[in-house]
Amino acid sequence: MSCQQCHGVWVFAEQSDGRLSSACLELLGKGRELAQSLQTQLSAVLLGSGVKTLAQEPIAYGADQVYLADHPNLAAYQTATFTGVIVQQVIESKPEILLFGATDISRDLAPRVAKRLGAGLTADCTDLVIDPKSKLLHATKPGYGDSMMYTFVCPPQARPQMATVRPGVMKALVKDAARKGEIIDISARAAAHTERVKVVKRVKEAQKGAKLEEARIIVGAGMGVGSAEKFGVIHDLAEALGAEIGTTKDPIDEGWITGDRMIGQTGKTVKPELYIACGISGAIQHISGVWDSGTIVAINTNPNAEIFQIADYGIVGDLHEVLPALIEVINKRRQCV
Amino acid sequence: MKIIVCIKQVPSGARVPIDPRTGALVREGCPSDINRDDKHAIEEALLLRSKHGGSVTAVTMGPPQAEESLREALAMGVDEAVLLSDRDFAGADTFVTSYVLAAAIKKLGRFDLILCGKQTSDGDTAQVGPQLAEELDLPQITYARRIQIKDKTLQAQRSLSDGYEVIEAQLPALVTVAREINTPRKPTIGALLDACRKGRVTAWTAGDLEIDRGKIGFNGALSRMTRAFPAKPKKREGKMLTGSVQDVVQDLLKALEGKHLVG
Amino acid sequence: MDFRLTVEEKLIQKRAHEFASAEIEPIAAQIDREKHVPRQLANKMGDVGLLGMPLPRKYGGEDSGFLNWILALEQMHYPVSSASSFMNMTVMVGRGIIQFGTEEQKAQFVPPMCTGELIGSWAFTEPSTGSDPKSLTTRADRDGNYWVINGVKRFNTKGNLDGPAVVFAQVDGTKTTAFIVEKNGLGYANSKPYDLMGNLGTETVDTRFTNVRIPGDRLLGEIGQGFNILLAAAAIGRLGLSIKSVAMAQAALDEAVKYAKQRTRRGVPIGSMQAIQWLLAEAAVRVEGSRWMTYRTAALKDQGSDIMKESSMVKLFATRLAKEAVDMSMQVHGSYGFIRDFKVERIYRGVKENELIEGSSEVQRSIIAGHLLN
Repeated sequence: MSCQQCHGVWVFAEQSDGRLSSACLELLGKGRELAQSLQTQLSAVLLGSGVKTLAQEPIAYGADQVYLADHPNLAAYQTATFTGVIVQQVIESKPEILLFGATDISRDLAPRVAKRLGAGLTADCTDLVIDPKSKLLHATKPGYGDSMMYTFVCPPQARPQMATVRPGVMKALVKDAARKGEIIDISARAAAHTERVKVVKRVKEAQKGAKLEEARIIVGAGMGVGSAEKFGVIHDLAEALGAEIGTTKDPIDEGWITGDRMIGQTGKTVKPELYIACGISGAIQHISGVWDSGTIVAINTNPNAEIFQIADYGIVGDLHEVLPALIEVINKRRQCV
Repeated sequence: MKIIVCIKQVPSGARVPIDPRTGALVREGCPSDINRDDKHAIEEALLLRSKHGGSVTAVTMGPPQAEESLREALAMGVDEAVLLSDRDFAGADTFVTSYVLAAAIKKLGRFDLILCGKQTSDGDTAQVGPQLAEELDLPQITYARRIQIKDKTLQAQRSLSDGYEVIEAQLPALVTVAREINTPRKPTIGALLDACRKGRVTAWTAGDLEIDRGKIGFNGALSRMTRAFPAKPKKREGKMLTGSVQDVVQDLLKALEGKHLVG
Repeated sequence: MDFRLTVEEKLIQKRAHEFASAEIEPIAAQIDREKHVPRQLANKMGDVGLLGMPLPRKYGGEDSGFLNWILALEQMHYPVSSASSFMNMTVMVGRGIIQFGTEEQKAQFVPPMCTGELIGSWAFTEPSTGSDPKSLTTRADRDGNYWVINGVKRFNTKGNLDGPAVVFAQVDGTKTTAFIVEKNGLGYANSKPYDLMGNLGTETVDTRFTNVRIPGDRLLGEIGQGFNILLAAAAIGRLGLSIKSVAMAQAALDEAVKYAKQRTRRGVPIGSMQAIQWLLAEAAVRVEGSRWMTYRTAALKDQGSDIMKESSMVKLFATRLAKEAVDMSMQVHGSYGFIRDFKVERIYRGVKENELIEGSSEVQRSIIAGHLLN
């Protein structure tokens, strides 16, 4: 929609099970920054049922205002109701910017909201900046295998300027429970929408093990592990990280572990976000299989091991000392959460 | 049952040349393929046709070379193929694409179901499906991993990050499908040759559709690209972590947490 | 001239690539290691319609034309060179039967070859000769309504797999004649497959014919027509081997490029060094030239030209240049290229064969000179 007097940066506060998602917190952090550049307010839009007690959270993480809709119709995400409430509030309050985390829900919701409002929407952004001259939102996203970056701007008739933001990129502010803000109750809006899609039931499922080619994190094991008896530490690390296990040729040949796990020239090619090479020398036969990994960590006793040539983080040390320490700290941090 | 499948032709390799001036993909001549998610949508349409009878129409908006994807869809078994191609469509964002697709779908007449892939491998926005549903005022179901139809009711299993939900909607409706829904069939050589030599592709330009010229292409786009630049090339950091085992572990975790890889 | 591939050509190429990636690539190393191509691979190819592509639809083919066939073959030979010889054999034998056979012969033998149910063989070579029909010693003698065949055929590719073999034998001493023999019948005995240097899994045997009795209606064409039948198939065999060479060279080059980007010396990829760059450039040029000369030859055939000269030229050219390109690709790999784990090792072992079989390079030179000097 066109709009002469739009102000404010809004963030859709996605929540589940009574907690704001980490994507939401990151969004508030970025939103605060944008609001500051525009010298305007940051508002969160919080939809749910039984979420009144959550309303203070966005404020603690940077919002000045929270538009709160607490209504049984909002207990679970439904397209028509969520779209309807957000669109109505946007039309009334006219924000200049509306942000969502790039999540499954927002991929269902944000495009519909944008279409109904006649707003421009840029998806999966990794950077948001207010241009100092034009005061317009410049939304940047990666494309074509993350090798190019593209910046988008909305023409004047397309307001609010909308974007979904890739989780894990922006930074949340440190929580300030004492921070003060305004809570505006818009719950009544949730009553009036016709839902043409009916949720019959919801089913939770245990997560299946990922194929090596689709694993997000892989722990790689090589000759350096030493023996079948000593292989347990690799399993422990994989469990602690929720990772899959891959190997060079030797652990398979030696029978230290079974399964379709060999990575390299005669095995699989993988590109996890994180690859931790334990006791792997880094011979080219194996390296070619992990070349495109996001981040590579290497642990090896030999400071001249070739693996360090392609590692982002290298540790010269005995994996049987380093891994247990690593596992301990990871597990301890998990318990604290 | 009349099913419409919206598909897109996307570059198939990782290496697509980029116009250094505009940053846009130079699609012409590049190896291209039907967007992977859209193949699942075509397959689902064909499976539903086997069960319920009727016809499947594939529609795509793209440059003339997108005809290749329609021929492939015909080879898979769709009954009709429609190419929406016009110079004036260039520069469209998803807002415009959904507008143009909707105009074509309205011209095709009555339909029961629209199937789309979840998202494209080049734009990656996952926006066209929901925006098309909004444009046509249809109920939408995203990430369907199973579809069943009985009379006028569609029941779908919708993928969630921690499981699924079972949802129902009345036809006509729009559904975007998740990859788990099926395994797309691969056409035989004979089917491909027939699709190319005997298959019919209907081509419509902007003039064939009831649309407002001001709302299409670059002029109609509600988000416009202002800048394209190469991302920093991946260079390994090569940071050696030193110190005691405890120091090294702390440093490593800090670095990994900063990148949101753990914790 | 429009050198761009048409929509149809692109789709055929893509489909073959998909098949090769899904069905052949995963078992490529295993095929080489075990020296065995799974028999069912032919059936899978048959299901997709890959086996008899340029043969008429009437007999189970696809009427695809030869350029489409070459485009598909190129993709199919890429992961490992031996797996797709099913395609070469089906077309060579199928075409021979279609051009010279009776309706009964065509109907009986060609459709099952196109589905992969039967595998064809082309049995000309003998211990005494690989190219000279006058030197054939295999005999076919009349016995009432039957023919009785005696002799030895050498390097009988897939001679041990059930299906029709086109067997060339002398009738009345000097009349070279072709016959269709159903393999593995009475009197038909195969040696163990040859232990070859490369292209492992192709299954090449010697076959001894001892009083092999075949019905009179298994005569292919006319008595004395054997040499013409042999010649008519030559161009197709040469096209097939040319594109096989191209595919092997491309595979080796791709491995060399990958290696050059990943292997480092003092922290820098070796691809930044001129010596490596020059090797890659020279190899790439050889692949490009061989490829387009092969495509053009196939296109000429589709346009109705007789390609006896052109097919001989491209076979001579492509087989040699591919060997050179593969050698350069191995050189890029340095000593790692010599290790079985690396793809270029088996390609190096295999590519030489193409200069030796189905009319060695020497034979091709004679043929080409013959065209030039007449």
